[in-house]
Amino acid sequence: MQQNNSRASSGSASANGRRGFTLVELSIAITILMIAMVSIAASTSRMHSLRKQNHERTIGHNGLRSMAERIHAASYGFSDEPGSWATNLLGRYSPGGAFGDEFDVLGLSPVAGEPSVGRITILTDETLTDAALGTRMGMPRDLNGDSAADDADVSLNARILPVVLTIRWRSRDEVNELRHGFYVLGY
Amino acid sequence: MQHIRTTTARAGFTLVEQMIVLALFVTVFLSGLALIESGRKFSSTTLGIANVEDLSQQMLHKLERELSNARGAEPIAVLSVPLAGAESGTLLVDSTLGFPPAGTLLLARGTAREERIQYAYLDPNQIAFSNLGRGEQCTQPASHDASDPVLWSGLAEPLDNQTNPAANMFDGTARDGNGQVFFRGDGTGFAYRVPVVPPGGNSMLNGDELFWGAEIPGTGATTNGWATLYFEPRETISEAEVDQDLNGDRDKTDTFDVGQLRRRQWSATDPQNIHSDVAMGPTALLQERCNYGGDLDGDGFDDPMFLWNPRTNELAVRLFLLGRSKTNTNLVRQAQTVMFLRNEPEQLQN
Repeated sequence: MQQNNSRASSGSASANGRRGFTLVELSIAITILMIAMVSIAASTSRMHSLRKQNHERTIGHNGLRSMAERIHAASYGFSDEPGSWATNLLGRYSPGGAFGDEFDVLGLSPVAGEPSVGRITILTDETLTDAALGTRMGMPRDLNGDSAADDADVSLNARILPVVLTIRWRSRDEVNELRHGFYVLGY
Repeated sequence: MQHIRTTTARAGFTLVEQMIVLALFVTVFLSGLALIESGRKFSSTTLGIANVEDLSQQMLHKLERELSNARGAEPIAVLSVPLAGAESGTLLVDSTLGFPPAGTLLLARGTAREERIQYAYLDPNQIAFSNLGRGEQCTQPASHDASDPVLWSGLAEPLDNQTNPAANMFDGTARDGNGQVFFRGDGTGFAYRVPVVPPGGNSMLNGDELFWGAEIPGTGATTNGWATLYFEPRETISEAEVDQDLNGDRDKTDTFDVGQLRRRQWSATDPQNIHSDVAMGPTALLQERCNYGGDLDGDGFDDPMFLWNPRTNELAVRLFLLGRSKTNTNLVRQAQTVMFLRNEPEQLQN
């Protein structure tokens, strides 16, 4: 008996010391582990997404800046003939013109249904407002030097023209847009 | 009874339950480890990419600042006497104005006699290149006739004829805006001058014009000054060694020079003594060996680092930077922009 009691006592203590987890405890532990893993996966995915977004915005900004510089260069080239500066510039960047009113940005994909990523809009209506343009350019403004900002079309005699560049691109399921407004001078 | 109660209190799992739980736990634990390791590698790669992209943007901004008031130049000369294939002393031309104190010349482009010649000395009288290294960059020494054009190989400029130029008239075709442009040269550099205040003066204005030159560190501004941005190779990387296709051409056989963009400034009247040479960024720029200015992104178009159109004053800049993640994966990122140089090009006599 003593031997049995001793075994029982020893076994009891030993069993209590080695008492394992219940299924409920393990389930909770595994659930916590799973949540942690899913969180890590989600944050990794989000980080990738943010990096990609950042990369594309950088490309977009470079693309906008490059196109703005090209338009400045073209404007400068036409400024030798002030009388036809505006028509030459508008002709180059109008639909069907020598360059056209669209451009691509290497590394960005156009939105479905749109032919290209970038669009060039040269405005010839002095009466347009910043709100209508969607960018801050100080419009309406006198563009042909007649001291009034009331002409609806200055394409034949403009001395200064507002240009709005817009790029729209697809990134995963999102549509992203950047817009850049600036003036070109016919001097 | 006590024994029975004790047994009941100690009732644990069956062996099968324990095996299942253990298997589940091990699976989840290993998956967790794999996920963490994958995340670690991904973070490292992401950081590497972010670093390279930051670097490329910094270099573009630095170039924009450097060239904001610059006027470009076309260093092109003409051989004044024939050059024998074995000549390694001196190469005589009509004028070396605009050529840096050391560099590479490109002769007989697009022909069987095409040759790149390195030179290490520029004659102060501006008519000779000396200390020649013949047959550089995978070309062979050849003889050249008087009146053959001599280009600074850094220069890349569009041809006048953009409709159907003969194959020997251009060195590459680059993507440009919505179209393509045929150009000559390697496009690994750009020569320019900036407005300066002459020594003893107090204004950049020279009547209705500006004083042009360079601000040479240690010497100061001089109207004899010139400047170039140029690519200097420093290391080599082989696709076969790193087992990666770095330029997207679907093979792993290419070799690249990894180098630095540097700015060299000098006085045309004393190029060996009055000059400076500083780095404009880290050793991270990529150029394909024996094909400088060639396609680096697999789009079928060449990628000159600098492509300057003196007719429109547009300078297209394409930088391909090589970065490495902490896991030693090589990452190539490109940054490109176009700058409109607001000043008229330099009018060289040649």
